[in-house]
Amino acid sequence: MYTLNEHDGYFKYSSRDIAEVLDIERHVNILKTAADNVLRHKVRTLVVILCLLAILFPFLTAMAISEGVKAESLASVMEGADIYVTLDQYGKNAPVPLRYLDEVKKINGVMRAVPRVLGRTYLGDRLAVVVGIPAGELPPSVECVEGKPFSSSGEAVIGVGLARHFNFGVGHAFMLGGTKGKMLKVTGLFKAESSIWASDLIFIPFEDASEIFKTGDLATDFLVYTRPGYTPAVAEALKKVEGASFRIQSKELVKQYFNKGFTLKGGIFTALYTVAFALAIPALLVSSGFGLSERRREIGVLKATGWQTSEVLEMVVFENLIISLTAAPLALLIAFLWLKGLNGLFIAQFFIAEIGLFPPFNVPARFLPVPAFLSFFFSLILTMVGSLYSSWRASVIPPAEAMK
Amino acid sequence: MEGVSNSACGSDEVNSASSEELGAGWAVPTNEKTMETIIKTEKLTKLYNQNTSYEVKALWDIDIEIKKGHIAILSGPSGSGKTTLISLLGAIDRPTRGKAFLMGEELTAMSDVALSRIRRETIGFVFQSFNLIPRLSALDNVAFPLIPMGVSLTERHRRASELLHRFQMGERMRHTPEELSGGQQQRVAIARALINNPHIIIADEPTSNIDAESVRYLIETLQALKKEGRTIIISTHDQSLFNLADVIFDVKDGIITGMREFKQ
Repeated sequence: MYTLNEHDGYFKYSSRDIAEVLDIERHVNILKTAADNVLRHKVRTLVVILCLLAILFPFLTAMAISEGVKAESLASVMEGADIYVTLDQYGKNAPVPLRYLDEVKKINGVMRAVPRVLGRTYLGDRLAVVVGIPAGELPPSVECVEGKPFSSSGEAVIGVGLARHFNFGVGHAFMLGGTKGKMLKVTGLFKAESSIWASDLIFIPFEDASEIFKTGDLATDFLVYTRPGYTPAVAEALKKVEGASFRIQSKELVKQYFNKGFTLKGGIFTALYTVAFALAIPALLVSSGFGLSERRREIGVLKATGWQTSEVLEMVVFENLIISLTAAPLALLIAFLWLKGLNGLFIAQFFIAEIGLFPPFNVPARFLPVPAFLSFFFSLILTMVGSLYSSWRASVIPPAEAMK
Repeated sequence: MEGVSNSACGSDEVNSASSEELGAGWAVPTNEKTMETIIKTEKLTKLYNQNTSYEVKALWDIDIEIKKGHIAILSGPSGSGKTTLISLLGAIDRPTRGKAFLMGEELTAMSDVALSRIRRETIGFVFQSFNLIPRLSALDNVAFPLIPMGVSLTERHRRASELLHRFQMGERMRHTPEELSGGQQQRVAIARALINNPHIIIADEPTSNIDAESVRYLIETLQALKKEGRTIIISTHDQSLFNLADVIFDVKDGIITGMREFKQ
């Protein structure tokens, strides 16, 4: 039987003393209780985490692809020419006559000037990018993993992705769509830093490309390589070439275009995703009323036994933090596996044009800290919106009412 | 108050133990001034669905006083307003109008923070349906009011375990409420109400969900708690508890219809 006389120093201090002394301990206690709650309410925790994962992992995958594509694009720009020269026609790029090539080569500071014909045509069922370039002028980043670069007309080097798709090897002959009998023989297969561009790329001699695309004495552009530090001077000199109205785009300018384009695309995507986050999921959580009545009763009991509203809310915030800290890294892991295992299935097509559901090459991806942080932030906001208000409502009404 | 004198509450011979009798370390229920009013209400009224056609007068102009160290029983049939009144006295509900005082402080004027502090430090509540948290063990159910007070887990469990052992629940303290009988759940609820060493224990229909053996055990427990000097307020229509009472308030249709005092 419980009697007070049996107490052996049971309560040595008043509850007020306890509350005043160990303030940090109080927060630690609430944190531990929140962790216990997360574990105790297994089904609720699981549903919330699954909801978060369903939203976060496509976001992280998409952002990783966006960043990967951006990085590859920038890498290809950095490996490319210092200046791209075209003619300016009403503010747009226009093909440049080959007669200017010698004049460009003579400019002080120019190491090399390479004419290029760029075009797109079908190879079988696949749209390929054809680059016509003089023999011996293949970009340094294009490395033949099999065979060798072309040396004369009628030869070609193709990307390994394309070769794999058509089961091509060195020595195979093929014909591009619309070329009426012009056969090209594969002399080499190449791999480049940029898997996107390399996958559908075919390098052929300049004259063959001129013939295929009927460009005559025009080139799509000149690639101008300058001596280090000479780029601005060369650009200035190009503006003064008599009779020509060149459109001059330096490496830095192209880099800026890429950066702006991808940042805009990524930004729009993030903004749309945020809106979807902000509207859809809290609405789902609130409308489904998932676990609300049980929670409300529990909060009523806590309040009836002396918990303050601030302490109840602190516990809820801790629970949300724990759930968010679990969901965000899990989403990151799933996004990583989705990219590595499934090559960005379904998601890559939103960022890379014309690749379909199943990307034919290794989708570039790059995980950066900002999207990872954003995913944590989003999940925190989501869980807070889904629970904080209802918890607050349950906390501020009289406990007798909350427990009903 | 209808038919009841506000001043006539309690007897002059209250059995209350002094701190010395209670043993070292026991700090709370010292009756330095016996016969001190611990709870008082003035025209306490509770309406539900106010200003609608479904308005219910759950309580109407209740004026009562309860003395420190007494056992007060609110008696009446189901739906008479006992639970509403006991909820207002226990500071877990707010009245529509009127005032309630606890140790001279007006409960009805207190902020949410102050009321929580009162519940934490002064009142232990035993609910009719026990209101134990389903997924927590008996031990954790008893210990959780100490969580926001910064008491370590070890200490919380030590205190809860001690109380549960004293209520002969030592072997069942790892069980969840659904694994316990009604009587056992009630013992857990009483242990939880005592974990903060409150001045006042409030029990709503404590015998309604338990068997006869548990009722006997409850009576012994309440007697012991009274001996410790605690004020106990019980709402019940179970006459087996009436022998414990210093005062019985008869509640019917939301009003006090009578008051009986006993010298214990």
